Amino acid sequence: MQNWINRLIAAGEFGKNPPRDLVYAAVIFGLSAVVFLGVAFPFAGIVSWVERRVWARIQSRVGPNRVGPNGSLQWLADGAKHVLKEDIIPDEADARLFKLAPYLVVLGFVLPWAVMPFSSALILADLNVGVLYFTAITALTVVGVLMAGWASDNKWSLIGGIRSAAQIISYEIPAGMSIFPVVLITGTLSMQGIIRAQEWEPYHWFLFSNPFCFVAAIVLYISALAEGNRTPFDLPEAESELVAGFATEYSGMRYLLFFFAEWGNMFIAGALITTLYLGGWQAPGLSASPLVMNVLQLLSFNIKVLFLVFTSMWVRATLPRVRIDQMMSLCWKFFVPIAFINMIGTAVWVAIWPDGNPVAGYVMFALGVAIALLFIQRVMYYLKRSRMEMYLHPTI
Amino acid sequence: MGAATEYFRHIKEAVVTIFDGMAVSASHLLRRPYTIQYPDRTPVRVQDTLPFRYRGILDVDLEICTGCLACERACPIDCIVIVCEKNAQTRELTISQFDIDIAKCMYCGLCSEPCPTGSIHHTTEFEGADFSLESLIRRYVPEPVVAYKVKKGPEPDMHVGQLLERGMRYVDEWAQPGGDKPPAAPVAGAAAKPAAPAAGARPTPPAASAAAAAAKPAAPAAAPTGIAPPPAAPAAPGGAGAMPDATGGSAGASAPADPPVTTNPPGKDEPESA
Repeated sequence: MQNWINRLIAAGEFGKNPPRDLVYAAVIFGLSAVVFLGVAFPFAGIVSWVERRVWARIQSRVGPNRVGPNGSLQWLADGAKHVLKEDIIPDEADARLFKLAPYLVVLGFVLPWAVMPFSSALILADLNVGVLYFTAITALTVVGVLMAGWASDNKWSLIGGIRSAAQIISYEIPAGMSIFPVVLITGTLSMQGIIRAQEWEPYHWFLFSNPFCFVAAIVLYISALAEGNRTPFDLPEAESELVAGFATEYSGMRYLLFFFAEWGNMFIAGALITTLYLGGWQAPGLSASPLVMNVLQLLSFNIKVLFLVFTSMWVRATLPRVRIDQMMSLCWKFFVPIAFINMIGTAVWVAIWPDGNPVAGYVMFALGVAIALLFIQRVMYYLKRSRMEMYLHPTI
Repeated sequence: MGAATEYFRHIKEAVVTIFDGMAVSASHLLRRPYTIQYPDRTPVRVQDTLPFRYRGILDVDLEICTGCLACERACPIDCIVIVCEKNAQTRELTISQFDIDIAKCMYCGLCSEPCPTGSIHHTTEFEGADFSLESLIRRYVPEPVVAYKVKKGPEPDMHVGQLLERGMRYVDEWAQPGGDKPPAAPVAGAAAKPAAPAAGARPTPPAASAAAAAAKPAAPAAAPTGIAPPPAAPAAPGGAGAMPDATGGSAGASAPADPPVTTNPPGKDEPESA
């Protein structure tokens, strides 16, 4: 990135002797704005529509299919509706904090895009503490949520905000400790460094590098669901008990911002797991051209992330919401010890095989394939038992 | 030891059940949705899939209406208004008004039971939404027409014959459950029945339907004279008994005197609120 800007400066694109820092800042801010407007927000919007369609199909419904072709513009309609709604600030609310809160939540969703490794070249800032930055920034959401809950001056909001804070802080621990195994293996916190330590073949992913990593990836995924307030853990906005949790008093665009963050966090969580365990943007070297390779890497990265996003929708359509005490006991009694075992196990593993066990990858990959096949067999069994024909058409 | 086993059993159960649960929901993802996209995206109109006897919005085939007023008398909420006039010389019956207030109609089907020709019948149409109450009053007589007369032989007019065939099929299907009683006896029975539970406000629907169905064979005979109530009067208590304004024990006594004969008084709309 810096080299590219240097070349542009040398070519006189910015006039003679421009202030370098300002040019860097301008270009990077400009690009991030483009990425942000062009990728993040539409992604969050489109995901909301895809999610509704996926749930609907799992519940034998159709889902939104009227606005635009097959309802694909539903998210625009919803967005327009929310923008046009009245922005209500309750009398008793702490107006300044009330207004600020949604932006902090969105900030927690925006900033991780800075270290999002889309391809070997397409990354805004390859920080040497990328993973740390990632986890630190995503935890910023909790400040916004807590602030929203407090400033609304409403029991439901407050309980929702407190729950969210408790939940996110609790699940930071297993999530953080599930990142350690990868850091132990690679010895780096840089996103690109971690991805470069893997290869495009699945048996060279860290997911299959040893049994502890496999479990750690699952723990990380579930913790990420909890941190993103996704369904089995969406207690902060449990509508049956808390109306809409911390978002109860919000309306219009401010309300929408919370959900932007929620849908966007699905991508963020998927990207983190993809980077750490699923080989990131690593793609088969089909071409010598860096441009083609970058496109392939972009595809590789996005396919993996979107698969994880889809999985989170699928989980949401499958599992019921856990109770608050169950959520806490799941974290502290199960995930934290398991994450510790993963960490220590990986440390021992790395001590024995500093360059990685040559066989483990293949064995674990075979195991993964076996689980996947078993899963497909179960799906087919249930489909057969329902005596319904398979219907793969995405629309009705 | 027990606690440790319990701990690992919990983990195992969580993994196994979630694995299977995900398989179940994935199998649902691969099935066809059940949704029928009702108004505009159904393969056939929903109305066309409904049974012949579906009790939708009422319709009248004026060509085969005998003007006997049986439906008007049967209607428990008086949503049918018929005006008939008899020409003294030609003995011809002219129907000058036949209105049904769809807004009032409760789709009980009592009007289509006594109809001798099946002229008044329910359709499968159910989409009655409109912007004003007035437009829900269906007027079936744009200009006065001569009432239909039941003929001895086969119906000469092709169109009317078809309507009649359909109408009789409709009526016969009503008559199916227990409607095949001898025509003579039930006249007394119909009169007796409403009188017995006179303390109760209205007879139960099966009783009403049986009485009305039994009274039906007598109706065509009365039809040509139509407005002249005497032969049809014994059937009237059956209808009157179902009227909400039938009061207490006097219902049996007052009902025969009650039925409006030719035209409808302006107060016809009131019983609904009574």
